[in-house]
Amino acid sequence: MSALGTSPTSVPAAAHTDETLVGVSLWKDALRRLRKNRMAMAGGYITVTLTLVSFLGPFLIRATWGYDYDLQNLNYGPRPPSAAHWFGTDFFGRDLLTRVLYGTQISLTVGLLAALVAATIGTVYGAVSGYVGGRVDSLMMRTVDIIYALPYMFLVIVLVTIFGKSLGLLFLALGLVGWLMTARIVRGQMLTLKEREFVVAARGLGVRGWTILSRHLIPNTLGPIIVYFTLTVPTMILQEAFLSFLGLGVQAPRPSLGALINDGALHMAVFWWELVFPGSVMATLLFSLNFLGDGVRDALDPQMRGRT
Amino acid sequence: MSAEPVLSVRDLCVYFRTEVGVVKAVDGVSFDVLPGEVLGIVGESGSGKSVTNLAVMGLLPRPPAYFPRGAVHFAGRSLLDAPDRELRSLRGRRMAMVFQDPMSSLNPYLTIERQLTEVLEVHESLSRRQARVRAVDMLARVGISDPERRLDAYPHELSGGMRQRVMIAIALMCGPELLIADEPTTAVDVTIQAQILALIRDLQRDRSSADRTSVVGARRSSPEVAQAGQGGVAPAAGATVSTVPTVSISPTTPTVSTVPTTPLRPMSVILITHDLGVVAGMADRVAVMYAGRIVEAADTETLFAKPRHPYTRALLQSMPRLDSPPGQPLATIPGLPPDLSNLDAGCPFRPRCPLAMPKCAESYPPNFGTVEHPVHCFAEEGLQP
Amino acid sequence: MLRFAVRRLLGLIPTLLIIVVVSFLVIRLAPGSPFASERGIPPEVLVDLKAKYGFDRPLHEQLVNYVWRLMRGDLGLSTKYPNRTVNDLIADGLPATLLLGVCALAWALFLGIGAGIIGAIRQNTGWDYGFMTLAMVGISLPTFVLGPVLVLIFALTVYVLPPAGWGDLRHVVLPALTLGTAYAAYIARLTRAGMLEVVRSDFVRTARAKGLPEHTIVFRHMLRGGLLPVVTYLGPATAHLLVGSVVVEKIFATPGIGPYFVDAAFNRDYFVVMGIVVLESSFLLVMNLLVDLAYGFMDPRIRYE
Repeated sequence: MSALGTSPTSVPAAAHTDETLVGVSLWKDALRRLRKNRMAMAGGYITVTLTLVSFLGPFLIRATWGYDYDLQNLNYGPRPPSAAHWFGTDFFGRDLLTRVLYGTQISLTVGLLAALVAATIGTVYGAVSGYVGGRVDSLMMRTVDIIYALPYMFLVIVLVTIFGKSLGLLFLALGLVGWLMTARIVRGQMLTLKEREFVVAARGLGVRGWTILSRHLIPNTLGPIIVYFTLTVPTMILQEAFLSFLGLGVQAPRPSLGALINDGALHMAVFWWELVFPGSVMATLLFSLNFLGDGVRDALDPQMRGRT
Repeated sequence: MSAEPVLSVRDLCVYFRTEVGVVKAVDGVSFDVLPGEVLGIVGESGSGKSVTNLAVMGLLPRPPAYFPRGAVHFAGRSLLDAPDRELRSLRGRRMAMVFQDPMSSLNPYLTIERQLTEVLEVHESLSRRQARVRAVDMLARVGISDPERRLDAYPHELSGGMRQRVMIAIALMCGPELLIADEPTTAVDVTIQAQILALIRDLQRDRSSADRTSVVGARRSSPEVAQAGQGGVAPAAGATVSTVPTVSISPTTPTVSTVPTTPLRPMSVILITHDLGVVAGMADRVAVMYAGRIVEAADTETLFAKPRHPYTRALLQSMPRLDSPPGQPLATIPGLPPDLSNLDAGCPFRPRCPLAMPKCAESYPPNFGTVEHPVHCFAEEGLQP
Repeated sequence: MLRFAVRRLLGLIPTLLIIVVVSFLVIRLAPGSPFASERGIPPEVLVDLKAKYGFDRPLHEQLVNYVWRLMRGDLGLSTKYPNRTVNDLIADGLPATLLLGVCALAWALFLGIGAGIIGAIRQNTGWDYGFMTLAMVGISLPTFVLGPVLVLIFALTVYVLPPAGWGDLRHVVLPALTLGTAYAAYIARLTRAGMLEVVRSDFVRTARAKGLPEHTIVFRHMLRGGLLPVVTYLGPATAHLLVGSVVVEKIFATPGIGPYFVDAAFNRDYFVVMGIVVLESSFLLVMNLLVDLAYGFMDPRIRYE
C-alpha cells in the first residue's frame, strides 16, 4: 500500500545496499528512537533532575540553614519568598522549599512503588489468565471487569481507610487498584503469543508451563508492560496527591505535594506562594513523566518500526 | 485522432527529502500520451512508475516531495506549479486515477452511491437525485448487475472484483480524458484480472472512436447506440455540459441519454503494472522504467519482438513460457534494485547488466535509439536503430 | 440492532447485582463503625440505632434486604443525617453534579475534538505542536492544581468570575473548565491519533484523486473513522464526568453529591456510599452500552443481530 504519508513505500523498498542487511534488535531500535524524541528526552532529564534535587536537596538545606520539614517558627508565620527562604514559609513558619522537596520525595517513592506493585500483580494475573485460558480465563477476566466497573475512587478510599493512614501501606493500596489495565493487556498478549510456533515447539520439547511463561512469553510481553508502567507512575503520583488533598494518604506533619496544594489553596488569596510553588513542582513532575512515558510508548510501538 | 498529446511529461524529476538523504524516485522521465492511446508503464517495485503518475495527478505531499526540474503539461496547462484549486478541478473530472487495492481505496464508512455521486456533485453541480441516476448507469456500464441495489451497499459487502469495477466507475463518472490505472489487477483474483482488463479496454475503445460525435446529438436514441455513447461524455475544456437526464426504465439497465453541447473527446489510459502479460494485451505503447528512469519505450509489438535494452530483454526472458522445455529453471535477473538515495552517476542497471562496460559507470547513457523507440544504453551506441 | 440493545440491557442487571454485592462486602470489610465518631452513646441507644438500620442482622440477611429494597428504588437511610434517606440526599446533590458534568463534557468535546482535528490536519506544524503540548499540560495538571490556579487568576486577580458557590451560570464556568480540561486533553490526543490514521489511508487518497474540496474530505471522509477511538473513550469518561468530581466540588463548594461521598466513606455511612456506587456503576454500564451501539452506527462493518 503506498500512502500519502511521509514516506511513500515505493521508495524505502529500494533503500538497501548490496551487503547483507543488518538487523536491528527491538530494544536498540526503540532506544534510538527514544533518543531522537526531544520532548521525551527533556522529560527524562527533568524527572531525573527533580529526583536528585528532591533527595539530596534537604541535606544541603539542612547544612546551610538548618531547616527541616517540620521545623516550625511561629514567630515567623507565612512569609513570601526571600533569600533565606526560596519558596517562602507556610502558616507555621516552616520552610516551604524543604517541605516541597520532601513532598516530592514521597510522591516519587509512592508513585514508583505503587506502579511497580500494580505492574507486578497485573502481569502475573494477566499472564496466568491468558496462558491457562478456558474457563479460568473467563472467570478471571470477569472479575477484572467487575472491579473495573466499581468506581475507582470508591475502591481507593475504601482501601485507604482499611489500611489506615500508614505511609508504608499507601502504595500497596494504590497498587491494588491500578493493576487492572496491565492485566488486560498482558492477557491479550498472552492469547496472541500462546499459539505461536516457538511456544508450541517449547511445549513439544517438554518444557514446563511456568518455565514457558517466564522464559518465553513474559519477555515478549515486556514491551507493552513497560509502556504501561511508565504511564502508570504519573497516575499513581496523581492519586497519592489527590488522596492527600482530601486528607487521606500522607498525614501531617509529613508533607505531601497534594496536602501542600490543599493548604495553599486555602490561603491562596493572600499567600499565593503556598499554592504556586507546590503546584508548579507537581505539574512539572507530571508533565515530564508524561512526556517521557509518551516517548517510551512511541519508541516501542511496533507500528512505528521502520517508519523513521 | 489529433496529434496534440493529452499529457506531456518532460524531464520530470521527483525527489524526496528523507532522514536517510535525498531519494531520487523519478529522475528525468519524459513521455507523451496521445489522445485515445493506451500507454503501458512497466517496472518492478521502486522503479518510480507509481510516483511518476502520482506526481502527474498532484497527489504527492510537497514536503517531503519536490520537483527540482521538469514539467508536466495536461491539456495545455502546466501541472507542477498549478495552484491547488486548479488541480482539484482537473482531478476526477478530466484526469482520474484507479488505485491498486480497492478494499482500502474505498471509504468503508460510506455507501457506494455516496462515493460515486460526490464526484458529480462537485464537478458538475448535479443534484443528489440526478447524480444517482448517472451512478446507476455507470455501474451498469462497468458490468455490475443489479446496480440499483448495489448503490446502497457498503464496500465490504462487495467482492474484490466488484470493488475494482466500482473504482473504475468512480474514475469514469465525469468522462475524463486521461485514466491512470495503477496496478488495477494486482490485488484481484486471477480470474477477475482478465475481466477487469477487458472492461478497461472496452470502456476505452468506446470513447476512442471519433464516430461517436454523430450519435451525441440525439435526444433519445436506440438502446444499443445510446449504450455505446454512454461511456462518459468528455466536454472540451471550459465548456459546460447541460444534461437533461431522461430515464427510460428497461428491464435490465436504465439508460440515460444526455444532451451535451460539445463534441466528445477520446480517453487515454496509462496502465501501470509490473506484469508484462497485462501490457501485451492492452497497450499501444509501452515504457519500461528502472530506478526512476525510462530505459526503453516502443510500441508494444516492437518492444516484445525486438527489445533493445538489456533490462527489457531480461524482463522478457524471465517470463515463464508455455513452450519452454520442462525442468528448465526460471530465468531471473541477478542482484537487487539499487538504493535510490545513493545513486551514482552511471547507469543504475549496471550492477546487474550482462553487457556492462566501464563506460556505463561514468554517466547515464543518452538515447541511442530513435524518438519513437528510445533506448538508453551504451551497448546500443553506434548500432542501427 | 434493537434486539441486541434489549439483550444487553437485560444483561446489565446481573452485572449490576454482582457489583452491588461486591461493593457491599468490600465496604463492610473496612474496620470501624458508623457510630464510632459519636461521643459516648449509651449502649441501649446503640442497640436501637443498629436495629433501625438493620445492622444487628447477620450480614447476608442485610445484603438480601438491601437488594430487595434496591429493586424497589429505596436506597436506605443515612447514618450521618438521621432524618434523610439516601434518595433524598442524592436527589439534593444530583442536579448540580449533573449540570457541572454536562458543561464539563461539552467543553471537553468542543476543545478536544477541535484541537485534535486541527492537530491531525496540520500535522507537525506549529498548530500541532502547540495543541499537543497544551494537551499534555492539561493531562498533567491535576484538577486540584488547575482549579485553585484558575480561581486565583479569574476570581481573585481579575474579578470576572465567582471563586466558589452556586447560583447562576457564572458559577458553572470555572468548575466546568477545571473538570473538563483534563478530559479535553485526552480527547484531543485520541482524536488526533484517530484522524492521523485516517489521514494516511488509501481512501483519503482516492478522495483527493477525485478532486474533492478539502473540507468535504475532512468532514465526510475522515471524521467517521477518525472519531472512533474517541467514542470508545467517551463511554467511561462521560460516566465519570456525570458523577462529577469530588475534588472539583470541594474546591468550588458545588452542592453536588461529591462531598457526600467522601464524608460517607470517612464516616462509614454505608448506605450513602452504596447509593452513590450503584448510581455511578449504572451510569457506567449504560454508557458502555451506548458506546457499543454508537459503534454500530458509525462503522457499517459492525452489525449486531
